[in-house]
Amino acid sequence: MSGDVGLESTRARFWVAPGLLVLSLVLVMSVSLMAGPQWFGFGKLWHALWSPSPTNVDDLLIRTTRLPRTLLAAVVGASLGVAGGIMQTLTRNPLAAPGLLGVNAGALFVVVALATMGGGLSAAVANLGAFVGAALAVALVWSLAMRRGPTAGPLRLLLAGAALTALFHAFSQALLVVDQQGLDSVLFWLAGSVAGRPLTDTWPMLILALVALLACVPWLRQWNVLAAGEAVAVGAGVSVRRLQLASITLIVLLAGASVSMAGNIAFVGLIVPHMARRLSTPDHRHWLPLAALIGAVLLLCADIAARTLIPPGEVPLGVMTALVGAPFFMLLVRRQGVRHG
Amino acid sequence: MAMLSANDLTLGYQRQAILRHLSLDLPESKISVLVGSNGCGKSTLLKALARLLMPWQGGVALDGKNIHRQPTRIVARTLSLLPQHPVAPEGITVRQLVSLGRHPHQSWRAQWSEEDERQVELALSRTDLLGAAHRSVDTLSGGQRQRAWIAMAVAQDTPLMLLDEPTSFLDLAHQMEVLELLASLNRESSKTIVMVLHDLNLACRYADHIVALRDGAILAQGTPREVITRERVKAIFQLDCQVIDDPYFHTPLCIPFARQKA
Amino acid sequence: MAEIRALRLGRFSRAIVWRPWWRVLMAWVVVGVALAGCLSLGKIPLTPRELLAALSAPLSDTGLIVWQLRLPRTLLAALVGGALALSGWLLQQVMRNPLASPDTLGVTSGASAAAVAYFSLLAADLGHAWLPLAAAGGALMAVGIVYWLAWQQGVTPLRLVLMGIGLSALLTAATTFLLVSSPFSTTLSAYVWLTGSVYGGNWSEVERLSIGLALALVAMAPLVRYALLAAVDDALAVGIGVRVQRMRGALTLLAAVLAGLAVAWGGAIAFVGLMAPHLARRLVPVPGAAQIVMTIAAGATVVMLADLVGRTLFLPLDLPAGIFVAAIGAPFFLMLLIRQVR
Repeated sequence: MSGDVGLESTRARFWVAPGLLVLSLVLVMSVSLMAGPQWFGFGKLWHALWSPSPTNVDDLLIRTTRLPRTLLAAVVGASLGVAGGIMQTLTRNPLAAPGLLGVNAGALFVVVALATMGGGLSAAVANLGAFVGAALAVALVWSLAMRRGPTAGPLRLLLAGAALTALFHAFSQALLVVDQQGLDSVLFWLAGSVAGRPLTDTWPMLILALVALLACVPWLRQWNVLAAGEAVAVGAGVSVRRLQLASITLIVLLAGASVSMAGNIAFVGLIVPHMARRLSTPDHRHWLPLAALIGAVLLLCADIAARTLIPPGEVPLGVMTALVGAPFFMLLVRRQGVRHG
Repeated sequence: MAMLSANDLTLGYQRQAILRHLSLDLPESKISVLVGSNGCGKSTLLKALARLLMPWQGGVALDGKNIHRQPTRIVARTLSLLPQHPVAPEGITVRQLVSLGRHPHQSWRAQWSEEDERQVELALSRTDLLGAAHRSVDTLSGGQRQRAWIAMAVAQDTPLMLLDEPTSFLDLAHQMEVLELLASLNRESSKTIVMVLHDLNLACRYADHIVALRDGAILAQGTPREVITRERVKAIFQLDCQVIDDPYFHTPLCIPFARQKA
Repeated sequence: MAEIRALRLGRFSRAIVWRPWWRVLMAWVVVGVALAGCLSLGKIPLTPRELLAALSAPLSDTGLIVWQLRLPRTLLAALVGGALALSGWLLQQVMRNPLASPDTLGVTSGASAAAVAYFSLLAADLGHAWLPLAAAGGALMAVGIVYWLAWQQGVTPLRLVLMGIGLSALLTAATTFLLVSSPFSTTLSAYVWLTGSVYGGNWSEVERLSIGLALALVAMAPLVRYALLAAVDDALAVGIGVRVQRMRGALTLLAAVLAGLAVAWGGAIAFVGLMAPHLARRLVPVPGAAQIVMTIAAGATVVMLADLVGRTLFLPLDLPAGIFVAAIGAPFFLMLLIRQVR
């Protein structure tokens, strides 16, 4: 932010963005509950939420399909936004994002492996499997890219991530070609979606993601120090090892829970932190909460668009976000372009 | 014939100008050294002279002709360049690296003429690398590697050589070795040598001509004795010093004091 | 001195490093053995004597199997592997990064998107005849877009890689969308294509691919020495009189054409382009013509063997070669990542 803005207006501006975002989150969430193949008015919505009747089909529809979907999109968006933000701070690399580090590919691989090995795949097992796969991938990429310490540079991290992503995808493809029936059941993970996931299946992961979001709060100040560089952080008395471990754990929890609930959702984790920083200050205590809000709003918007653009079909949510996110990513590269050797 | 000159040169990176209206004639068959504090534009000037950077205004002339108007391969037959931190391709041997320097003299038909072979062997022997010629560049020590790069420039067999800090990362003995090699190339083949050096005293000993830069402009140029004086050093580096006569080489010897506050 | 021999005829001259060529020769012997293995193994295994008999009598029963089924398929595998390997080697030189491959530039994702689009939109009307053309077109278009996006007063290797990642993501999303929204049978055949295979390779395919590759190689002849220079950093290359951007563009285009052609007939066979150059570098550490030839041999062998495993190990199933290329390539690549501590 420019320094010549007066204190008053700075403070005013400081509250404008979060305020507007909370407002729009409420707005978008209600639109998400209303919109779909069948449009419900506000009165219906109010009725369904606060005094539902067990026999009313509309109430049932709102409570069992629209509500879980809306909650899921909001939590997944927030988690991905925050996970991306932490990732970028940790690597001090504005191009880092959970998706580029193999989270999605790892999750997909484990889900495919489970689907092709066992007969039926229960939702709970699939969720857990996806989570484990995501954690595995992050651990692998991190340990490969950071073998010589975090100075290894952005190219190495990105290539290690891209390579591992390709690797996991190849494995998944192999399994799917061998067992072609599996393909149909995992296309969902391939494309990413928040549709048709009842709360009874997703609540453990939802709670996990919310807990992880709250667990970020105590680390915010240390991330501020880390953003200034490792050596500075050590000098300031921050235990860098512990901080890195905590950060990685949080990333795994947030991104892993997201991918296990909603599948392969690209680019939210990459873009959202950039938007948050632009709207706020470089202080993590300011922009990281903002990232959560923006992530939630964005994913809700994307989901609404995904289910209304080509009725009666749906654009997969992951496709939707990639279509918007990839151009943004490339714009980012071009902006920074000349600086990179 | 190898006359290199800059005329009203203005250029920089992004929108920030580093050099402003700089004009310079480099004396032929002499060793010229660019000195100045960090960020004064000496590396930028060297890159501009080597046609790596496009000037915004003015130009660089090689033998009186605009260097950017000439085919780059033709220029490379007159002018060789050793950049600051060159990177060698993985697995390449010293002899292969040195023979890359012959590229401007080669064509699709003639890729290893007798002259190529002769110049490469000569460059290897001058840099004392014949014994290491078959080794991979990755396995060399810092000093050997720097000599390998210089050998590559030598093999290019140009009357004019530009070198950006050829002694960086070398210990004192290796620094001397490199500078002696360049001095002998200048003496025996009367090559024009232009380089950036950080060590003022070594610059004084080896240079015929010193160009002192400050803030993208030439502060002073001339023989070491003319340029390196107490007042000038203070103006170049904002540093107090005493300049005495080197008891052995009778070039100026600068003894720095603490940097003046404020 | 014994290291480099000069070959001079009038004004024509070349430097030849003899030593690695013995290993290259051995590698081609291995290629020959692999080829023989691919010809004799299958549902009806042949002894070497039977193979010779079959080869000399193309119209006998076994002769038909060898000449009309196994030989074209194996040759197709070899050509695809060799072309992808060479393309990977070129790109690793140009990107100055040992982890670059045709995938990094968006070749594979471009071809995949085009092929899947073809499967779901056009295949019903046109059959599969135009598929290779669509895939090659997609690959070249993707590389062109990546190059165009990365161009800012010239391209740098890092920007190319990053743009490649971005565009690949975009194209993968499009591919996924097409897969999800098409009927399941289309999805299946597209998915098999995506994995990469040389199913049902026939002589006309071999002919067309080899003509394409031969043209690309002719174009490459004057570029070979630049392929070595591409790995030198920009300042140095300018210093020895190389027009860096032009060289980079020409080499990238060549690599894209090679990979595009290979992918068009072999599907998105992953890892060959990444792996084969590394294998070759292990065997011939010094960059040069010998390393290039070794790379081609390694790529050809790997895909031939992967196809052989795919069609013999799980009989009666005939599995895509891409799976086994990945199965061999994956552990190798991980090892490489772990070792690459420089």
